[in-house]
Amino acid sequence: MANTTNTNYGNQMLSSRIGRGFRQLMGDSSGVMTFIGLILLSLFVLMAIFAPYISPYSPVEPSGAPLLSPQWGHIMGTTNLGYDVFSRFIWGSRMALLIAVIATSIAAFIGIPTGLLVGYAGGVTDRIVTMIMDSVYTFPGLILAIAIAAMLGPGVLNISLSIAVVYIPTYYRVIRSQVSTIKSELYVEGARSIGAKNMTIIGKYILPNVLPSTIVVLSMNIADAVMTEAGLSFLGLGIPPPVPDWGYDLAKGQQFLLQNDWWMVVFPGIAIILLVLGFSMFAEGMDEYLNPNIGEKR
Amino acid sequence: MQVSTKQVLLSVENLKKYFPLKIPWTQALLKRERPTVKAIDDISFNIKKGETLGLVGESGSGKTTTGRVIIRLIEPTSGRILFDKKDISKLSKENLRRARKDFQMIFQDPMASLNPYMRIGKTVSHPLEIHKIGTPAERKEKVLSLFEKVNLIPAKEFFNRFPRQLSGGQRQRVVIARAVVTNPKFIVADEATAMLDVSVRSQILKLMIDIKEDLGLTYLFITHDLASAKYICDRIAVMYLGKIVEIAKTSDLFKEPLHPYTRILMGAVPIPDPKLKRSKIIPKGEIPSPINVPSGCRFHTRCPYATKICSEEEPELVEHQGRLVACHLFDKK
Repeated sequence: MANTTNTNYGNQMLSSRIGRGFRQLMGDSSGVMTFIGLILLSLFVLMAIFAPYISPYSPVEPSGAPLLSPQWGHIMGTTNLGYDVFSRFIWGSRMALLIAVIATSIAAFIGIPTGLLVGYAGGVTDRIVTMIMDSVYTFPGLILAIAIAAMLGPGVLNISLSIAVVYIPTYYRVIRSQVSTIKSELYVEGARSIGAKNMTIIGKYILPNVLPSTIVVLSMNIADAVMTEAGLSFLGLGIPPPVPDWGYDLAKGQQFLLQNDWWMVVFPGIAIILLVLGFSMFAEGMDEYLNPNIGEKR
Repeated sequence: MQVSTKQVLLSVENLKKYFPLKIPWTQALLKRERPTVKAIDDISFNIKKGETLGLVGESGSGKTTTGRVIIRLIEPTSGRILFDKKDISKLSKENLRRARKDFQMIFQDPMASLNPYMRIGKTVSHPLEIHKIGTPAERKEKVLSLFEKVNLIPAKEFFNRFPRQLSGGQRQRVVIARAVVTNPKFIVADEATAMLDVSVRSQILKLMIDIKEDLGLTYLFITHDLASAKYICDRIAVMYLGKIVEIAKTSDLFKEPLHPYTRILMGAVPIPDPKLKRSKIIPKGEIPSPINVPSGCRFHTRCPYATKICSEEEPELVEHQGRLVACHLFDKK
């Protein structure tokens, strides 16, 4: 329903389900979970930043014989074109993070202000915008992204945009539902009674109170965006080759799996899993840290 | 010193506030008239400069709504609110926003009336920023001196704290400081002490009296706690189901309550003397629904003195021995 007020961050998001499972597994030691997530994240970020220095070969030029199995010199083997899998593993983190971050930023920049304004305004505007957002929300994410990506064509910005469209409603829903509760809080009425303008009330009294949940949605969203991006490039709708991209590598490697050349599939797969896991665990841990009300009511 | 001039600061005339009820649209099509909750049904009163008027009544009597409508946090349905001879019920949004520095509100729940993500120094100086009063340094100076006045000491330390780091009593002091920071003339205190425990309550009441005398304020003190009302108010208005049934000086009201409803309220005040036996009148039943207000005097359904006329004719608020009361027992027309 559109009017649920609890902080149920889009059950649509896969990453939230992954993270929640881990939290149940960890129980009280969710601090450890956040920590592991943070370490995974920083590893990938560092990898992305220092890719030119870490990777032993160029990811877009053949560096040895094709389809070498993992061995000294090519610790993750080589592809059918002789590219070094390890180098593509490292460079791939750049593309994954870049697109995920751009897509999430676009979604947040549209979704958050819309949620704030519409939630505060309420009334007919609220009904109409919520209806539009809900209709986008009910689409399966990947299918919508495929449709838009196919329309826009390849390119970093286009891919990001098509992923962003999928996630705008997530922000909108979370923010709107929170704003509609917060706007009837006594401190908002207090702000009105001292003569604050509507924009001041939204900016100084409502926004700070919805920001913590935004941060959680944000990091979960990045995780989901990584998966969607991998999905798109797996289907050939992503960045055109030979730009290193995990999803594309997965798709390519799949063709050689029957010959027992497992390394082309396993390593990009592990990369995607670890990065998504890192974001999910981090987000879920932050959720608990930023919303102390989950465990106990204040 | 204060009551000598007897100048009226706030005058409420025939104020009404009806809340339309939400009904399913299928029914809305069939019915011609939408049912309304008559939260305030035609009330009039004056508050003089420097005076504290108490507004007492059961929950559901409309006293909180009255407080909010008077400073236009809720729009009135009809009626006039003359503040300093200006009708604030007609002010445009922008003019109202500017005028707000002259009338402020103290809320009931100090836990909920402060923004949890705003430091309290900022919370208190924010009204000054909004109304563009003083330079940042002057504002800070003013807030610090106010903190000392409301006994948040050391003021500098409190300035950077968040509401969650404060106790209930301290938060209410912050709320009071915020209400008076713009040097308002009039303050609505809506159950300002109801959520505090008894020892803190008397401190806050005392603080409110001190501040009032310091700054020459006028209060509308809304409460259901007659002991607090007796302590702080000059006059008391008793509300029942959206109507004022009696207005009198505090001492008169406590010495000899006239309206049967006031008598019942007085009977509900505990007296710390087990030997003292009082004739208590217990009202029949619950407060009626403000959707279907009883005909005639709205209290007749529960009144022990009700006669035939009470269910037929609505009594007016008339003068009786220098006080105002709305009851047929005293209506000598």
